[in-house]
Amino acid sequence: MLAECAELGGHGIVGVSLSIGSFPAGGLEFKAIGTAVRAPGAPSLREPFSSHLSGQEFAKLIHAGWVPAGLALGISVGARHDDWLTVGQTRWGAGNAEVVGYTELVNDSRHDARQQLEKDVRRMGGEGVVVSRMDMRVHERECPMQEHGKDHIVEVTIVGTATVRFASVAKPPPPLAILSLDPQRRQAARVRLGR
Amino acid sequence: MTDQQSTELSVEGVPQDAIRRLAELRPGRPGAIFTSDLSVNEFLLVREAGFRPLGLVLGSSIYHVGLQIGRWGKNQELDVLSQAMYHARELAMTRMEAEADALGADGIVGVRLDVELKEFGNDIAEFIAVGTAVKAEPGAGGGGVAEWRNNKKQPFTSDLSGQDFWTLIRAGYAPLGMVMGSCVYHIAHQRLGGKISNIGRNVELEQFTQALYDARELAMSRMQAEAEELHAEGIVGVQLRQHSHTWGSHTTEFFAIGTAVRPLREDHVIERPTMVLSLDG
Repeated sequence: MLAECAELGGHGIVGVSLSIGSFPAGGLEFKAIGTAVRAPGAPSLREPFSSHLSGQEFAKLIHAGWVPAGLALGISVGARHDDWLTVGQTRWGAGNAEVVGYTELVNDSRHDARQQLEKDVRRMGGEGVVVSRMDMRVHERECPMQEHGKDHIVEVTIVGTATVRFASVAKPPPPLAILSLDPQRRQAARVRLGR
Repeated sequence: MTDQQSTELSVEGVPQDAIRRLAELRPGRPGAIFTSDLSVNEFLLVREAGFRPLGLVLGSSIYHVGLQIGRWGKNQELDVLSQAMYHARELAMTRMEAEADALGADGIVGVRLDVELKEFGNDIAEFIAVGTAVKAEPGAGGGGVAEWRNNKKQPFTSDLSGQDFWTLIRAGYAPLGMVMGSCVYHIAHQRLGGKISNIGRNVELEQFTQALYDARELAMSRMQAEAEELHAEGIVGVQLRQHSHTWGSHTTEFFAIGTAVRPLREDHVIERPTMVLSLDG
């Protein structure tokens, strides 16, 4: 996707959506789609930036003096065997308590994914990252080592946009508080709050 | 963006400056990197309110939520389950607060507290609390605010969105912490005689109504008790949720959650918002 943008003479891509799906002929297909943009008159970049932000969000960020540096990913996979302690805590009559084994698995995997994300951001030279998606998938599998044993596997994926400050812009205008008189907008806002 | 603004931007050479900055990027910048899951709007409004995002913080607990059998014909609170739901959420929130404490944060905004069933097995749910830790700049809240943390020396927590947080600070209030109350209630089954006499009649099922009132009241009063502990003046953004989780139709959890606030100054006057009426669709 970045190669196509560079061919068009673009400086970067906004509105990137990343999807992962299974491919009919076998294997996984990773798809990235976005819109290439260019700042007229600016020198070309070695590597165009990419960002999951929509057009409006991108404009607002530039207004405020930040520019997206690139799409950052943090991925981590963790696995843990269900030992007798864990099995005991998950049994039907086990009572209400925290399942320590699974909690550790989940927390460690997420922590590692966040560290990978930070490494990715540093690699790009970014100052910060705005996270757009944090997913966690859990699988169970038969343990290859122990008969009747089970393992749990956790996959954490974090996707975000790394950002960096650029200095030239003066303080942006303060936000204007508005109250919409549209009945549909206010109804929609009420429904959203009720979640 | 108006025509005037876009001309101003290109006169100042803003897009070109942005690209020049990107061209200078080198890997391995020293210093801390902030992470945040606020949207762009929220990020800019939180900065406008005088707070700087420090990092994404989260806490989670995988909890086994088992059964508690209630008496078939009686409305009653299932206190073992109430305790469990409360404890699980408290574990998640405490871990998230500990991460924020480690970052030296003054508070956490945009907290999402969710319960999700994952493929760990039946009756096992993940309680997860995610938010963005922030630090107050010197002029935040109109300046002169000595301490943003609450009376428990913990960073404040708030499930308010960036927009609501900005409005709250402008109105002269500061968040103290999220307060919650939970009640798991077992609603009595109707006796057979009662069912038969109600056939073909439109009638209020009094014991159901009473049960729901009692359960809601318990959940809300527990939430209020937490706010009193924090010496709050009030609770904003209250949500009252109802879940059956995996327990079936006669057992429901009532969960009340909100953000406790304290005043920053005597008056709470905000400028009147501009009223707009959209002309499209």
